[in-house]
Amino acid sequence: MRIIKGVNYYLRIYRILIGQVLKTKMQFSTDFLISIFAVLVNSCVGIVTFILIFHNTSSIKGWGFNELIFMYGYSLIASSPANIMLDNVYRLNGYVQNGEFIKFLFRPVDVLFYYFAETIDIRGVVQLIAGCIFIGYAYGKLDIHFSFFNCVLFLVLMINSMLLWGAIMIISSATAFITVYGLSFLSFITKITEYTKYPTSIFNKFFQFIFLFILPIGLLAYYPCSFFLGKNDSVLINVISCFSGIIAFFISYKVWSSGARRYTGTGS
Amino acid sequence: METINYKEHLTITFVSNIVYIILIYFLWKEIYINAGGLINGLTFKDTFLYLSMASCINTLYLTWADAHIAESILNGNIILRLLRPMDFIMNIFFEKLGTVGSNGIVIFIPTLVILAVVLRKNLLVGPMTVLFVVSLFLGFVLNFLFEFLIGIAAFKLESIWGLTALKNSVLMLFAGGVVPIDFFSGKLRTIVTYLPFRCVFDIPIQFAVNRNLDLYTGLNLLGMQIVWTLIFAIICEILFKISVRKITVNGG
Repeated sequence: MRIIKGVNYYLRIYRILIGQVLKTKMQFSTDFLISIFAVLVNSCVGIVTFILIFHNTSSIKGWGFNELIFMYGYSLIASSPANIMLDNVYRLNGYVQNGEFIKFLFRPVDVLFYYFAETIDIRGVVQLIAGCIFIGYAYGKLDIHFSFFNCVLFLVLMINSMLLWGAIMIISSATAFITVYGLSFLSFITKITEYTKYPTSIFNKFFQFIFLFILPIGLLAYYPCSFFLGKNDSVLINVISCFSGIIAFFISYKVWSSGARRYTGTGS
Repeated sequence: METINYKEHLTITFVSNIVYIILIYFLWKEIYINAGGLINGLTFKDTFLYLSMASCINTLYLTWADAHIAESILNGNIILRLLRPMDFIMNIFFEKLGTVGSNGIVIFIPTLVILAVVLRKNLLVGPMTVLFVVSLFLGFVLNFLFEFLIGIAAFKLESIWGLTALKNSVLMLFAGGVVPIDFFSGKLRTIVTYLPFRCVFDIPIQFAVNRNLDLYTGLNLLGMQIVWTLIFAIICEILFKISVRKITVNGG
């Protein structure tokens, strides 16, 4: 009973806080519309890249055009919650540097929750829609058997990927508590996640190991998709694809919160 | 922005660039396995060097001019800049030129040396290298002007992030950052050849890798860069003058 009360409480507060944010953002200003347009263009550029590449080759490590579109759509959907709700990662460095971050510590709610409830990025919804369109297209082209089990599996994998993506963003931003170059590290991670739309199997064993266990970008889209599309026989990886997200998210939450709690202001 | 520890930032950018180049290596190695030896006349080494150089040049030009200009507009500091005797655009330009200089020394040249060692026969060093440097400079000027236009959009918009993202993806695609320009075919190829984006990555890269580049074509390419740069310089001047006039009219 107590746990449910806790979740309801936080959901209510989130709705109130985000409502405030939305009121200021949803003015359909030119800037907002341009941003939406930019997200659409970005998604399309990804597709154009694939088209240009597949002009000259019929598969990448056994992955055909439609399968890559499926994975691309999958990665867009998986990254949307993180992009929508964790938009404040980019400002953490600034807040920590000039001492403003202290204000987040004085509230009776969880620090991480309160910090990331400060702002959301609506454009992520456009990305979500684009991802759904791409997956829908690929689903039509591929011969995926529609069944209850498949739906459940897809949901499990997707939720796992979403949690993992959030975990990576949260941990990357937590570097702001330790160093001053948190922003550069964050853009480094952003650049790397660009490669989630390609099969991790293109790399040699060394990098495959890194992208599975150390910087798990392979788990964001490639391994879940290869599990779902029946391309992967490794039971270990399939299991990891289902449960790594929640574990990673829990770890990132702990790391970030402990960094936040130790923050004592700029104290000159 | 000034509180970022610059030395660490350069290190991370350097590493980030190297990692990106490694990713390019593996991806294209795989594509070429299926495609055979040549794609549109380019071997794997050609394409790999081309895209690696595009990434290096992208890092070289990294100054966040758009973000800084927008920031100074949004927090009002631009007024202080405008009161200075020096022309605003030139002021920012030379400031960012300095950034490019340090990017060049710390990141660009070392990475290029690594590439040259790894791909000894493909990276051309010779008389064309002089034109390469000139072309890089012109490419930076044009890129700077793009960023300037986005920066002054802050006069009208609350945030420029949408425009920045748009410019980055369009630029990467049409300047040769995602696939070499030679991979475009047909009508699209013709369009891309005349768009200004080519001047930022593709044209400078030609001076460093294209064996068949003679002086005449080279000068033509430089000429194209100059023409586009002048066009955008004029556009920037005009738009800036209009925007500034609006500020002074609105009382301040």
